Amino acid sequence: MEERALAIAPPRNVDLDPTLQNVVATCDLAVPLDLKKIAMNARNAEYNPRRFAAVIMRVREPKTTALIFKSGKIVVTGAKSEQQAREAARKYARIIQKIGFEAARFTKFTIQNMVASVDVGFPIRLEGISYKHGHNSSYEPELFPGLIYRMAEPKVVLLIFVSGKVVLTGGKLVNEINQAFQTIYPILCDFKKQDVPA
Amino acid sequence: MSHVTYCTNCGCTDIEYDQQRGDAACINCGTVLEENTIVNEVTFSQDAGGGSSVVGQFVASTPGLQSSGLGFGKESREVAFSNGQRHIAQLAGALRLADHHQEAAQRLFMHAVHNNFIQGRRTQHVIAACLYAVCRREKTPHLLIDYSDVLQTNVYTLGSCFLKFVRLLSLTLPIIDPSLFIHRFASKLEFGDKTHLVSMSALRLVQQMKRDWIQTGRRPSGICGAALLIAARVHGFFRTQREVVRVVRICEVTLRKRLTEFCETPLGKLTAHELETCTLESFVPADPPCFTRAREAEAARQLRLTTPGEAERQDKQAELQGLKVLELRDQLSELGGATQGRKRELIERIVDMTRPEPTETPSLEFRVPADPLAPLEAEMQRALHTEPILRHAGGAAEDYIDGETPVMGEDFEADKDATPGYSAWLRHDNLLSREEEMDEETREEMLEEMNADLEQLDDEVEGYLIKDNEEVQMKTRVWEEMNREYLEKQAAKAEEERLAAERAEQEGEEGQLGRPKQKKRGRKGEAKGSAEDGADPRKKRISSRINYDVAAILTQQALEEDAALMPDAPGPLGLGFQGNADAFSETLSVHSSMGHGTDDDPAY
Repeated sequence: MEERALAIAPPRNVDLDPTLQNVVATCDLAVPLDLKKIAMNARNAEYNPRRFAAVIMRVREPKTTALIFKSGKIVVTGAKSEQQAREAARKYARIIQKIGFEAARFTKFTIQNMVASVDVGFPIRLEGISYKHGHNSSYEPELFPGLIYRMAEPKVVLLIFVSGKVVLTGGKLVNEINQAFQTIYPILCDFKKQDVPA
Repeated sequence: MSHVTYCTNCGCTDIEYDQQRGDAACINCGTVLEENTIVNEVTFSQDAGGGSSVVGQFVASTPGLQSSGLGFGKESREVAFSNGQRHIAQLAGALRLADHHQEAAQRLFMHAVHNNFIQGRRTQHVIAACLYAVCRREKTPHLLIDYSDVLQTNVYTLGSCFLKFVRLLSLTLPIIDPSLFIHRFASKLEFGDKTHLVSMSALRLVQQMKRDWIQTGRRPSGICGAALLIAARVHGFFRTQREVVRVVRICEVTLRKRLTEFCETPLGKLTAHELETCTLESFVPADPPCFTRAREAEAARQLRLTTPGEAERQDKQAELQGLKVLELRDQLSELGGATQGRKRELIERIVDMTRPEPTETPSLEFRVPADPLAPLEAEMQRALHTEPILRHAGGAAEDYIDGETPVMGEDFEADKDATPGYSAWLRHDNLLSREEEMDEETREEMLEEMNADLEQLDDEVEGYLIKDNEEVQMKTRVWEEMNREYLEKQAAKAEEERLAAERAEQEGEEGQLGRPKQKKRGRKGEAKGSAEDGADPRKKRISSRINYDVAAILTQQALEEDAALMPDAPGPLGLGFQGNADAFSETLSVHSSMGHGTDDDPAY
């Protein structure tokens, strides 16, 4: 047993910064698009109007997926950073231009959501957080295994799991995500599982 | 009850209370100090005829169904509230909840009504949320799944409504405790007079599972199920997993997982007798199972990176295991409805095979670093592994190895020099919060940068475009075929819209005389028929079971045959002057034999 306890707590000197997992951005090309034409002229597009009223297009680098709507609005998902989302949006725009909508130009580009994750490396007493921070957290093991912590400032939602993994979502800037983690980290440390000496 | 102790007018304390009239008056100066007081004592009065009756009226603790008096309709909130009350009573009855729970739920429901929480939600869901909140506060053995059972709705739909409700009213509810449900589930498992004993053991187990962190983040019913199963076995009841699963209503796999997790704690190694007699506090609490698993996985990953050949070994092992499982599955499917024993054995082997084996090697590796340089080497290895990713940042996506994706866009740090512009974006990236919004000028600049040099991307984009005209046409044909139904529907809709627009125009010219509303409606119905006719004449068909295209071809063929038989005949039916009776009858026979196949061909 003791062996095991040692084994599973390796010396960790990982720099704790949340890793971005997904960035969602929207942009507006300000031209009405013919979705059928796009779907027919691109290899990486699928269009099933019965199921969803947008062309689903993917590029491999950066690995992202876009929803292209008739109004010329685009939603880019799956990027791992803001820069990637931007680069991907530019590619989609170029593809659309090449298909024959020369007038397509960016009139809006906004990051809508960011999802990041981080592993703090120690078990967390969710019940403790739920008692102490009842007003902005909800822990219902019947519905979801993690604790949902809604931070007011910055406005970010954190999913905290007993394994020490934390998912941060709802931020629109990397700084917000980082700041939220900086705010939550002391709380997590407070509710760290105490090792009882045998 | 009597609140007034001195007269507000003269200050004396001689005050007379009259229960029947419900007032209080000063004896000294005669000031009436209280009127219409509410008393909760029952008093009776005698009327002139000698009969007695109760004084006063019934006042409910919650505002009930009250009509607002003469000529006034009820307020919609009142209606909503009284409906809610009725539904709460029904639901509480179905779940066997006590009256005071009902009342508490009604009070919560009133809050829901006042906070506009019922708008846009199903009353059933809101009511379930109210009642469940009360259950949680009062710690009754009710689970949300019981509500979803009674209401026949998804438990997560109810759950989301409940969570929103809790947030709205900022209720602080105690965390759900699995031990509440032990007695309830135990009574359903038919332990007879040993029910109490079994549930006591189960409670002990639940307590220990809590100490061993198995409980955190897990559904209470799963914990209860595992505890009850073990407790039942300890007391000599052979309850199968299936029986327990039916009572606690979780998946069999979940139950099995809880059991394996328990097995891995020190308590899981004890015999039944030891389990009953040991003191729980003497055991060191284990780590949460998911935490242990995550650490083990990470250790394995580290080992993979540090030890040459380890990656291949792990891959090979995984592959071998996969193959074995496949083989066993094949055997299983071949067996079909064969004997139970053999099948069970096979299934168990598959389960064993797919269970993640405890990895001893990696953990040992961590305990004693073989040589002091190992961490350094690991660092180097990692650097070696990450480098190609950075180098090929613009290359194919396959270069991305899971878990090795660069953090926070570091990858683009290198590219920034290569791509011109991005200065405004850099500024944007360094924004600290959303409040620090960019001004209009910067925004313009940023968009300008996005639009600049799009042509540069041509090389990368080229591969995604279909240049070959033929291929585009082929793709279009396939797509049109696949979406024909949709396209037809769209066309019909567009046509109808066009006609409607035309009609509106016409009507506008005619002028709005008489009763425009009725007129419009009449015309609309009429026009609808005509629109359908106009949209697709083929739509007016007799039967949907006939393939009209084939029928048309057959008819055409028959007509051609006729024409060949009677070269002189002017018309296909041979009704010309020189028409001879035999040929005509032959034509008919051909047609009738055809008509047999196409039951009710409209042509005949």
